[in-house]
Amino acid sequence: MNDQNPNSFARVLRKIDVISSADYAAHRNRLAKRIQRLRQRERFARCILIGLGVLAMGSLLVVMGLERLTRTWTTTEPFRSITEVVHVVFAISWLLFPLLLTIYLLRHLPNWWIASQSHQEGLLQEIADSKQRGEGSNSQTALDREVDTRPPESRSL
Amino acid sequence: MTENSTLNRQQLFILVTRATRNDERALEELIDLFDKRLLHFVRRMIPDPNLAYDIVQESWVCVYRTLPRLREPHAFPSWLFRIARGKIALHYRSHGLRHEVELDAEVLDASDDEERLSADQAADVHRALSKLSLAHREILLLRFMEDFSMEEIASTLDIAVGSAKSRLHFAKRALREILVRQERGTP
Repeated sequence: MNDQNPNSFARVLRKIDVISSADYAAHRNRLAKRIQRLRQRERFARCILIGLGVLAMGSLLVVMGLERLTRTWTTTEPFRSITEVVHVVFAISWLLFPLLLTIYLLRHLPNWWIASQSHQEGLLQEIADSKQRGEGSNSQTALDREVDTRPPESRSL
Repeated sequence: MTENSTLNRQQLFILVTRATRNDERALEELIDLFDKRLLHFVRRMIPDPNLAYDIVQESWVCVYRTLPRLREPHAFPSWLFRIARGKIALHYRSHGLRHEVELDAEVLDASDDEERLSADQAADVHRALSKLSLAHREILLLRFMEDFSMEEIASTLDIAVGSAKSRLHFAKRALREILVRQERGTP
């Protein structure tokens, strides 16, 4: 078990296969379905939020219109009470819209923000630059180190 | 190493970066590349195979949810194993520590003479490994099975590199002692 040369121990460790192919296939299917469901749920939630936002905006416009109509046309008692109702709906929609917008932004803004972090852009640019520079030479950068992504049992040593 | 199954760090970086930007195909590729490795690791830490599958699934779901927040795409492998490790720890915390893994393993064909290691020897090592504490077992698996560097191990286990080195040293010593005891036939 030499720390510098772990191959002999690794060889022993990889000697046993603990994954049956049928179970593994079932697991992958289940995983694919779960991720698919998550994606659908996320899209659905996004649609609902956008829909509610649009609805709030729409109702706001309608209410504003109604409010204007009632203000101009009503002088009698029943219409005045409608105006009060309209004012309440108007106020609720004013509250609802920024609330939904805030929830949506809080949920998604961190992801957008981080995904578009300039340091990632910078690193991608750095890779592109190092690629261009390295094309003529044999020098290996730290980025070129190989990462073995094969499952343990299928690695040859 | 075949071309399809290995990635250089640059390719991995690009793949992970694509995945952080909600590229569905990139995430699928990452799952293809790392799922079996993760399963091997978890399977050796958790006695129940079904539970091991569940933990791997939970880990990937967590990856899906938090990947856009991963700041260092290079660190994806150790980050992934850290998530799985967290799920394992959570399981042991909620169910009490019972960490002997009974591997209902199918021993692979040991006809490869070059390796000079019989299936029996492999089974002995696995039996010894299952008797180790979780901390020792996980560090040995990460170092020898996953080929993680000491820095990656330290990042996965959330400890200092020096601590990782010393833990690895003690883990090897503990394993050696168990193997010797097994050879002598003493419990």
